[in-house]
Amino acid sequence: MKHFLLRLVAVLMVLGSTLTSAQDNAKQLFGHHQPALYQIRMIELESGNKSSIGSGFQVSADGLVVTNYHVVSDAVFYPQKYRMEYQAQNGETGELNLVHVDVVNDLALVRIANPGTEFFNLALGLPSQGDNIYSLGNPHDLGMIVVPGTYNGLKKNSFNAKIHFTGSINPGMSGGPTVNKDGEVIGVNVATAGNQIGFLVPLMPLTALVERAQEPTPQDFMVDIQSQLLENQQRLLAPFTAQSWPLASLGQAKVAGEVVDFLPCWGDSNSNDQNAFFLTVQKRCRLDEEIYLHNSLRTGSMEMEYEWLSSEKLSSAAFYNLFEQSLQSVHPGNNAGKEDVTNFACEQQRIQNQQQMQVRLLFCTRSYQAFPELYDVLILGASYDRENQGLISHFTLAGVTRELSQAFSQRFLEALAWQ
Amino acid sequence: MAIVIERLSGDNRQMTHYRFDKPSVSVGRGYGNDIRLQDPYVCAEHILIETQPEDGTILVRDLGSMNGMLVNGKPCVEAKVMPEDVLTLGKTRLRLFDSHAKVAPTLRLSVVEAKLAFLSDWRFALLIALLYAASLSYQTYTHTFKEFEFSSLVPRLLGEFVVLSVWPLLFGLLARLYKQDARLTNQFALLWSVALCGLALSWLNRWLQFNFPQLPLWYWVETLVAGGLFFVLLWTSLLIAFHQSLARRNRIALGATLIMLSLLLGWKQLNQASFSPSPQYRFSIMQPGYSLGEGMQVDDFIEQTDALYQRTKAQRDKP
Repeated sequence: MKHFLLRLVAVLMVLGSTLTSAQDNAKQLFGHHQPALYQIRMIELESGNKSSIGSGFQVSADGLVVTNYHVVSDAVFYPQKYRMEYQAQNGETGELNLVHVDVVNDLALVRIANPGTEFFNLALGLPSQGDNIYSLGNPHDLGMIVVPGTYNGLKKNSFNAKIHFTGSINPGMSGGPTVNKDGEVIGVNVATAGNQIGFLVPLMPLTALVERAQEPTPQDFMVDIQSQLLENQQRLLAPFTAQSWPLASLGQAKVAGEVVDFLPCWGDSNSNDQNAFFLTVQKRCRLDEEIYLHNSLRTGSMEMEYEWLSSEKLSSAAFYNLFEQSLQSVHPGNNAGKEDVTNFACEQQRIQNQQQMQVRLLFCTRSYQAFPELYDVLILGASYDRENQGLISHFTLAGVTRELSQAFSQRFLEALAWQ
Repeated sequence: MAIVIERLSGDNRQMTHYRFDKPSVSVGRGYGNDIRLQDPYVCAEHILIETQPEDGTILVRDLGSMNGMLVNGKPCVEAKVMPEDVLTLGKTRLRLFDSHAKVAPTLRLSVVEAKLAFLSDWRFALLIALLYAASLSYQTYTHTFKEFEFSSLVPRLLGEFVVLSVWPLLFGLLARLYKQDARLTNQFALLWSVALCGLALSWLNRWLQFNFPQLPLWYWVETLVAGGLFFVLLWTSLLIAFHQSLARRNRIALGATLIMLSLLLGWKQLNQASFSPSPQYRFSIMQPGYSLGEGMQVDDFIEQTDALYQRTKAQRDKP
């Protein structure tokens, strides 16, 4: 027992010493860069009060400030209801003007009219795994703080790159910078997965955005955002539409195998349920990220789900009743409100693909109010050519063009087969 | 010419009918009256009814009764009464007219009535009820995805029986209130037949939806067929329960059907106009043996979805 205590004290001492050095560094950094940090506020015009807050940091002498797009999204979508304001460390407040946005990477570039002289430099490269990095921001409106943490490389299998930061990022810190030990920005705070897991927008899109400051501010941000979404969708779906998909088995059926590495799949079945009258084997693949457009609208999501059902105990009629029941509701993968999208328009049909599978199909689409080129599309299919087994196939795509979603649907429907 | 006296119920329907071939009739609680009323509020000699030989009009005279006499609710001592007047003595209501008064024209017996004679056979009713119960049992069986237990069937069948029985019992009761036969066998036989038709039609609907999901105006056909079935049920129930003219029966049945259909369509319209974040649809699928022909080729189908994108685009551009 005594030994254990001694060891514990020793460990604590070692830990303490590393923490002190990190804290010293943090203190220094914070003191030096504090004037270049701002709180970004959305002011609701009717009430004159702030409706949401985030952080931002100055990146140039002429007053360019970087924050998250989701911090300023209200002012982009509803300029007649919200305006942007900043508060500097000395308590001074003032107006902000939108310069550029990058909705895909959740970044926004705004400009301050009377900037201070301090600003952050962008790093030239990312640190190496395990390096200490420091996240700055204003969590829960408690005041500017610094959070020391660890750089843990880029998030694995991510479609749009994110830095994996071990350290706590809290609401309100969004848009704040994360800097290396020299005080150069390596990323922007964007999200947390709880328990010391944080995510940062990495350097590359940040640099690209700051460079875009040379270009004129878009006349219509909706047009600009649409073209960003189009480019993103093109990149996301190109691997799916380029060639037919590899097949992988699911029960006695075959469904899409791994087409890309950024679409993680999970599986489940009820095979250990001895009392079940039917066997169900499921496979769900879902893109881990989606694009935030505003409070009630997300897009860029992608889901593919398969369920193979079979039963030896049920009569064919009963099996198909069971099958029919599990097909009565389907939901889109993204959130969208009445102001954002139309109702779904659907068509049902019986089809037969080149693998000779007969599928009863529901195909639905809805369009976006603000983006004339974009649609959400979903399919729900059910095979009907085997007496006591069936395959349910489903996908949802958000924010895609007609051509791309049709090409995707075609590949999806051809990647269904019996073994 | 004779005096006709009708004793009326609270809602002026005839309860007892008297006819006297003499010029005057006395009414009261005493045993010496032509009509003896057992109403404790009526005096022994209450009124006297007389016909005037010259013009045949009927005259009533109060014989000094305690509670008096009301004609159409107004107290009178003597009054000339017309066929539509209602006379109140104590708590008894009477109508007086002479026997030449015209009766309403005869109702023609419905031809359907004769053809529906089989409904009155209890064996038919029982057969249909058993058929319906068997269909329901089969439906329950094919919707059970665990061990099937007959005991679970009983509450379902009983519940269905109780709920559906409301209709024939209601019409039987109404018929009795109108002094007619309840004819419950007919009502039940009719209800089971219609319920059986309903099951068959819903199966047919499912089959059509499975095979031809894109049939144009399908929703309307479906709603009209459901409305038609309801019309037949109501029309025939009325025929069994009441004696009424064909025109009146048609009016009631058609009116009720139209109200029901407009409620259904209104509800649908309301739902269609409101925003829903998920697609609204109904999916039908059946065993391989029930499909007609093969499905479309994938490419043809994808090409066909162009119209769907156009539709949402039009919805979006709508002001």
